[in-house]
Amino acid sequence: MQGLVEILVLPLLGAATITAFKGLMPKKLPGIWASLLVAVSFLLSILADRRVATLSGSHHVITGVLWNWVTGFGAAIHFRLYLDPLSAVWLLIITGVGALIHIYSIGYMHDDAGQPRFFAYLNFFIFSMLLLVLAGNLIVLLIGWALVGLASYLLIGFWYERPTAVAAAKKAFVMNTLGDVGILLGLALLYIHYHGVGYPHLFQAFSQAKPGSAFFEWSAFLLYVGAMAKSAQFPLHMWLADAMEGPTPVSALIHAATMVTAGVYLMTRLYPLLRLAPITHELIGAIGAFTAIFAASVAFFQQDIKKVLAYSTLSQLGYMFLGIGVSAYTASVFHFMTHAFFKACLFLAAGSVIHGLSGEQDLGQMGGLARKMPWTMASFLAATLAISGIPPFSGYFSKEAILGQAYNSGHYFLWGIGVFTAGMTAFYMFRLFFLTFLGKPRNQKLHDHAHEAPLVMTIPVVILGVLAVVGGAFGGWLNGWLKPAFALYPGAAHAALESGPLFGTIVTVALAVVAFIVAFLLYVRRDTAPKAGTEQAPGHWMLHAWGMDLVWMAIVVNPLKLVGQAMGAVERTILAGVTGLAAGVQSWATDLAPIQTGYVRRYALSIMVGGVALLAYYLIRIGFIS
Amino acid sequence: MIGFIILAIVSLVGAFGVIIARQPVHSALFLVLNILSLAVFYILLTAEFLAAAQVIVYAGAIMVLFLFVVTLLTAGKDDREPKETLQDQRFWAGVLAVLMGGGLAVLAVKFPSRSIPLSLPQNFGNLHGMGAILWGPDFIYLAGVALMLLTAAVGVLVLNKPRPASKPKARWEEGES
Amino acid sequence: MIPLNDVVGLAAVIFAVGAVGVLVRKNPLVMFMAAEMMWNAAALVFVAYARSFHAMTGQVMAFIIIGTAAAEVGIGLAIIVSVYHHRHRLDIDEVSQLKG
Repeated sequence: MQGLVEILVLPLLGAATITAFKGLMPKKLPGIWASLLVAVSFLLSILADRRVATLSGSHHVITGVLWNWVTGFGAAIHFRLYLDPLSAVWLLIITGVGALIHIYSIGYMHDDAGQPRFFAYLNFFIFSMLLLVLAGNLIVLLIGWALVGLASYLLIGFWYERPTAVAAAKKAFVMNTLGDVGILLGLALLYIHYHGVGYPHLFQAFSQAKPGSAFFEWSAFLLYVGAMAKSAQFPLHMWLADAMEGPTPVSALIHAATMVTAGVYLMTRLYPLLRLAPITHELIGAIGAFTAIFAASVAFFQQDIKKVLAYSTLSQLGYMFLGIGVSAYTASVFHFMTHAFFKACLFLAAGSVIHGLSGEQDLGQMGGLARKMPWTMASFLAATLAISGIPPFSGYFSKEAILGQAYNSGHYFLWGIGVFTAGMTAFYMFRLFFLTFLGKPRNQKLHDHAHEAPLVMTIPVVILGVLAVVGGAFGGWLNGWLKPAFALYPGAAHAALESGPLFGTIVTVALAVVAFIVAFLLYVRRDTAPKAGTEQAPGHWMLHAWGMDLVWMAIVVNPLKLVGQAMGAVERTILAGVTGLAAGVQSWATDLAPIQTGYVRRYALSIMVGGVALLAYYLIRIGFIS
Repeated sequence: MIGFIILAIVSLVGAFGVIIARQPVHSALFLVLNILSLAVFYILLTAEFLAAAQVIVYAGAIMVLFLFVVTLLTAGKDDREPKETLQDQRFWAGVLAVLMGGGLAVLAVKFPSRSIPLSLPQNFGNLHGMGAILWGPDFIYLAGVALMLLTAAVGVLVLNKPRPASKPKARWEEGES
Repeated sequence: MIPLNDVVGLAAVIFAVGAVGVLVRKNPLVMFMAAEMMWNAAALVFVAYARSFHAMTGQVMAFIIIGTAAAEVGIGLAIIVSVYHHRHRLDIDEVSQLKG
């Protein structure tokens, strides 16, 4: 317990103080204050993790009950916090990358009127996310889960004057709520069956259960639906691309590094349940792989710098779920970590570009920015190499670990998809890089005014860029660190990082290199326009995300609208009866109104009537008059 | 017993005087009579403190306030009772009052409450006793009364504060009267 | 020693007389005085039963009644005075606009 509450409360304090005193604060204070609190939270997280490391025994867990919450019926539910090596990794990433992004935002938002509001929301998000990962049972997790959804909603709709931002926020919120319902149902199933939702209690129960019953399948599937919505897995993925309406640091923090990986966290946290639900387990891997290749194909021809990154995030999330599906839990966490580094770096660098071009996001207006923004370009390049899986950058190690395990566990088809997607990733990422930084400027006026971002923005980007380069070195450490967290089931050995066959690695890297060469030839040598290839059938469909929005409209939204209209008609019919009743009461009241004469003495007389009646009642009761 | 009868008659004279007197000033004076006779009852019922409070608060403060307002509002005007306009109001008032007062009185006399044979506790009803209980276990009531009086004082100020400048004449009138 | 039951009976009669005063008189000041009389009757009952039960709680109640009456008179007279400023007649039936 020691120190966990402080980690949790500091960002909340920031949100509260900024909201309360934003009128009094000088212009720059909210950003500095918010960054400082998150940074302190980061230091405290390191201390807490050190304490976890020094714990002896097989369970490296710090846990404690803040207060008894739901008591009095059924099994008691406590407000429990829980820190083990798994949540420790998340803790570090959330507060560490979060602090960097806070600092970056000081520069990025410096001339926005809503700056205090922005930092209050951002701090609130950090608090919610920490609550999510520090939760000691599924209900507290659900609170954090819902709160991050709220924070995401607020931040996507941060520029609420834009109708598109409001629509995107609404979409994200509705889809996330769908997932919340899934989690709620799933944990209700577990609660009914096991009379408790605390992790220690559940793990104890899972370790004695026999796999394969429908109960486990259903509860795992329902919880997976929640993870699916939050982590934007295939049918529930559209909100993430629209979420790019928010400010770029938000995209970096929430919609790339932390919140969208909450689903990965939930699934790795509940790995014993997944072991008991083999069908769902396989399904997770399959959907993950499909999401990876689907999103990669959509990212191919996007015109918006942030949209490309959004779809690449989707694709990388697919990788993480693929890893979970093939039981490569450590590898998934590893990929989450490296992804947090390189994707945050990419988004922040993209933010610097947008900032330097005074708000321009269209790739068709960029090009040739390498000279103008050398630091941003270098960081972006490092992160691009990392995400493309070029050794020895960080993405190579984590992706390789997932693919290797997929191959080793016999999921050859998923492995194939993963390898192919790795090539696609390299292609679209290098296309993005070349279109942005190399080639001829496509808008000379913007290019002339472009400038490198201020230091407060460049330094976080460069730090993340360095982490994206060297992040792969954390793999070995992570292996030992997470061992106790995944030690609870017989297949524990498979949870650790594994390397695949040599030819797999060679194929992956070779594909990436080929993709790099193709992208180079196409977009630097031939100077192809960004729009090229989007007019004909496949490119057009890819640009519009294979029309998934339309499919959703046709399959879900419009039928629901019809149902709503039908219900509305029914309701109006019922209401007609109600209004009739109201009219009757009204005419009755009109008839009775003259009783109110306005004369105070008449009212006093009526009080006397009541008093005499009461007196008579008591006299009759005691038998004085009969 | 004779003392009780005399006191009862005096208090009833006061009571009837209040409702029969044609001028408000006379009503007020009859009310003083009623209140003072009740104060004597309090002394007889070993409630010395309340008797004193009755005389000071009612006969002193409240009645002075009444008399002040009566003179303020009725000086130099026809202050006789207007004619009764509400149909049967007097008849039903009499019937109901007789029913209620009669019923309560008969109930009180017919059902004697059990009396406690022990002698009274020390300091019963005098200043020491009331002080001990009001500043001791029942302090909350004292505080409540104090709060209520404060609220009333603020309320009176708000009710009679000068109206905004839309009607300057009314303010002048207020000051005049 | 005075007869407690008779005191309570007397209080009932004073209460009823006060009620008649409130119901019959049209001058708000006199109505108010009659209401004060009703308060007093209730206080008398409390005091009498306090004596009967040897419990001073009844006297505390009477004390509350006296305090409440003082507050009520203050507010009530203020209302009467401000109504009089608008109406210039001391007739409670004048104030009867609020009817159905």
